[in-house]
Amino acid sequence: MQTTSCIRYITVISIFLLTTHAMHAQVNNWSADNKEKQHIVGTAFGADFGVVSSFVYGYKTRMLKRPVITGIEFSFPYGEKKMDDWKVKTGGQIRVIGTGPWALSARVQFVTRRYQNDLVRMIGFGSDLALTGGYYKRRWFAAAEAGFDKAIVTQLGHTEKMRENYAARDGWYMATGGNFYYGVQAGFHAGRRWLFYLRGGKMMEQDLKHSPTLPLYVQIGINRTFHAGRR
Amino acid sequence: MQKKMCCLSGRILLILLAAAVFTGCKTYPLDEDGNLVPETVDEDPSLPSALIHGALLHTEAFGAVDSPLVVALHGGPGADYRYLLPFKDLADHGFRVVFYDQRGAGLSQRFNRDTYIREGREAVNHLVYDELKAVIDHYRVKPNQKVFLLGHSWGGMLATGFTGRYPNLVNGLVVMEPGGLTWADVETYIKESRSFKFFSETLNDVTALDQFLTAKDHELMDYKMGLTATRNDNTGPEYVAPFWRNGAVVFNALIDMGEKYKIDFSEGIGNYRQPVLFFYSELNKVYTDSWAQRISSAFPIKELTKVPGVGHDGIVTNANAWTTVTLPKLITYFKSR
Repeated sequence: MQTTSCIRYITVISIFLLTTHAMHAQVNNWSADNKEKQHIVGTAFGADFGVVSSFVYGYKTRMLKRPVITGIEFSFPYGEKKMDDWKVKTGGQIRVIGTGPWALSARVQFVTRRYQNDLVRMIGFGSDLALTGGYYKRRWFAAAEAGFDKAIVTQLGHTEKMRENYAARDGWYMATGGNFYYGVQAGFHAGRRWLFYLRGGKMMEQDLKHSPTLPLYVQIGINRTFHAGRR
Repeated sequence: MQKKMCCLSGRILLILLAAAVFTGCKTYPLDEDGNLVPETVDEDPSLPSALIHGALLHTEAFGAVDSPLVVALHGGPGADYRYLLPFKDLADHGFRVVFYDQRGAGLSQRFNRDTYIREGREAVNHLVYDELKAVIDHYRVKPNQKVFLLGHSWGGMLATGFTGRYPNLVNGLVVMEPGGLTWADVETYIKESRSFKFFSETLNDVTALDQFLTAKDHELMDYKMGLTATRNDNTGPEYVAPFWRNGAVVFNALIDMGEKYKIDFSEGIGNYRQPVLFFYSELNKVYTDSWAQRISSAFPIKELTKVPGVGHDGIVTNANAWTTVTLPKLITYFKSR
């Protein structure tokens, strides 16, 4: 694929991001305090293609007469080399349908990630699309989720160490990978502002035959909301 | 607030877009031969090869054709013989040194997983031992030409299994740190050698890669396997041994078959009444003295050599260890047989 195709791809991603706004908060209680706009900050720890910590910021408002959260999540794995690997997700989550305590939400995120080891450095752009449906009470919730994390385009840059073995071609590669995931999430509120949650599940590669080296994900986290004005 | 976030997002993306334009942003297909991994012998006719036991193997030999054969067996499963090339020195000492990449590994022809799985319990017998037998037959030019096997790691396990099956064909056996000979020992060794610390860079280097690259075809899977084999502090201080290309499908298939059928590489070796030269390394934390004693106990007659100052691969790849310890021992051993 040539330069024009690549630019078209990035342009589409850009338009997508601009139209969906930036965002996060993969875990939210749709029944808790929907009357005010909120800032959400949080942190989480768990396993997600490695042992990772993450920090999130979200902004909860309404759009299309539905509650919407937009925001950003930054996560990084543990290891001796700091900041050689990281992931940033920006996007939005919207409550699609709901009746009583039951709700179904859709999440769309643009993913930027970096990876480096002794042989290669990768910078990738992709998407993470997910549906979450569950039972949401004012003080607690439990839900199931399923999603697809796609590596749309990845730039590979190889080190001299790699070239001693083989001069693999540096450059951008399309559609390098993708992983399905499905699992559950649950949380409870401590006071009006604090949300503690746990999510976990299983991952499978996009061919539905292979599993990642770490085939499970699990995350324990805490979110704090701040008042941002009435609707 | 939302407007501000939109503006910020827009600016960041415009910068990304501009960076993409200015850097050319040419993209390549993942499955195009030669982009990420070298071509195999069926794709590149310039590579040395031979059609052996139904597979086009990457193979070559050094030394006079009628000299005693020393057949090198590489590790893995799925690695290649590039890191064993120091064995070529034996050709200067009167031996015919034979190298080959096992089927589905290195630069040899690739096969689908079903090729291995459908063999069931006989996968190692039919696809590995029979292949080695065919390699020997291919290079042996006279009936009384001696045959020595020289296997490193997984290659040492195969060499042992083959010798147990054909004890009268093998005039001498050298093994270098075979992980285990019974499958229970193999599993223990794999578990210990890959027991990365929970918060270590090594663990992250292996697991985080799965976000970027997922299984698709031989090229991508082989490339990915090569990226994860960079360093293992458990088995030694050496950097990754030189390699051409890993074989991910054969690696997974043979490990799976081993687990399923509990392959026993020590079967029959108790009847082998020739001395076996057994190397292990000082700095492989998993291959302790007691582990070397345990694994080598399968051989009725053996001589153990602990190579100082190196790890698993360094027995061969460390130039000093090779010239001062390993090579002299090999020459003495082979010439005594």
